[in-house]
Amino acid sequence: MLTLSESQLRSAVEQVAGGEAAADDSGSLVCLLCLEPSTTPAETTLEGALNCLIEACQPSPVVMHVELAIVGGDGKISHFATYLAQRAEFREEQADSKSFYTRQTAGRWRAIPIARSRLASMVQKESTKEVGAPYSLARYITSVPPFRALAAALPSRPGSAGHCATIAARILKRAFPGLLTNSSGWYSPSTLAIELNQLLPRTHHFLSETRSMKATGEEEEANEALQALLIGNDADVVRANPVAKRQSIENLAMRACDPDADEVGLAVAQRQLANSLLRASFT
Amino acid sequence: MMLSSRQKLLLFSNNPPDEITFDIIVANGVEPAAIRAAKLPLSMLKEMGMEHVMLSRQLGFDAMDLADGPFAADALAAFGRDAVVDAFLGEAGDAVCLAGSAAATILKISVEELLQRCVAAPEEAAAVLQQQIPRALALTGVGALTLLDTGLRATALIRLGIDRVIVEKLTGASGTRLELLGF
Repeated sequence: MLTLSESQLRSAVEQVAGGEAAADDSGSLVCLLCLEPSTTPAETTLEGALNCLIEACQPSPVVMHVELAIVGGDGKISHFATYLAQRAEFREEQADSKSFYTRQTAGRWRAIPIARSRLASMVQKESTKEVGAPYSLARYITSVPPFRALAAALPSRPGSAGHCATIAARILKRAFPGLLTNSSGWYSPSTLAIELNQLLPRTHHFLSETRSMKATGEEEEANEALQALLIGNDADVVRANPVAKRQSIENLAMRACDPDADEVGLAVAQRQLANSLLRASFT
Repeated sequence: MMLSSRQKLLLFSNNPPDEITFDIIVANGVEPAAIRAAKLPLSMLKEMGMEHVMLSRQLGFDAMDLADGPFAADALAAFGRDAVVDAFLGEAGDAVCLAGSAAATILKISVEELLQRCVAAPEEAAAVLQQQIPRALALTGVGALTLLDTGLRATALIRLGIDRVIVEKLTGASGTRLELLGF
């Protein structure tokens, strides 16, 4: 039988406590950014046809595209995405990202928060393994009901081909086993969003449990950062303290998964969370 | 601010000046349609010397322009929400344009704010509510007094799918106010 002296026991407890503190510092919040359909006509016929197909084959509410926003403990936000005819990549370093996220597609994003211990660092690590994975439009087939049975047979190794939802699901499944119920090939953008929305109460519980009491000054700074992200101009956003921005995003994430909120309240909070994430990242 | 030859020609079909400033654009009466065709967002006009977003109204930009998501996002980035909303959300017609648009999301414009611009304008108020999804929750955050001020009454509200129970629950309207609304 294993026995521990009091000092050994205390040391073990301190190590666990230290580990959890480090986990909190590494970030526990990841958001699934969901792009809603555009109300303006597509620029090309091919784009229009693809959009029609994606809308027709998915359950409501229709989501055209999903990607991951990883909120690091230092306030840095990484965006990992797979776009049509491109390879999977981190988007914050792309030259056209600011224009794409904060202008062209502004107002069409919703963010579904997912928070678990050390999730951000795990998702970051798994995303890095997926850099360069090729886009595959054909993989949409296994996200449509008659062909979903085949989804489990598709390769799900890091770097194998997929569309935006396949690769996002693959990363989440490996980063947090048990989070998603189906194989990664099963998911379309809409079904991934629907399933993660069902997990919001757990995210809310986790955020409530791990939220530490902040000093009044810190809370005030977080509120100022929130105002800058939601209604300020770009100069206000740049001026805001990165740690306060992270705190304000976590506060918004709490609202975006509030189990007491009605449908409208949740939608508004998820849109505000997405706007804030994108402005914090690309301003 | 360096503009391409194409942008210059779109702004000034004949003899475009070498250097184009905001004052030159105003002095020459350049139309908003030409400015948008030249892909000059408000943030670029700001860099060219437009000190306040209200000046864009003088150029002829209106709520219809702001309803466009990228235009609204750019205006927010350049001037901040309050200045943009003050400039573009003035009357009932503006509220109808902005209701349900991407701009309402980007600029955090509430239904209460939209209805406040619809005083004694029941048709416009109805159009604002009609564009909210889901309609049954359109009155979330709206005060009973604001609703009364619009002139919207029970018949029109019921036609929109908003009954007495919804009005009472979402606006907190008392018995007297519900009666004034026609319920």
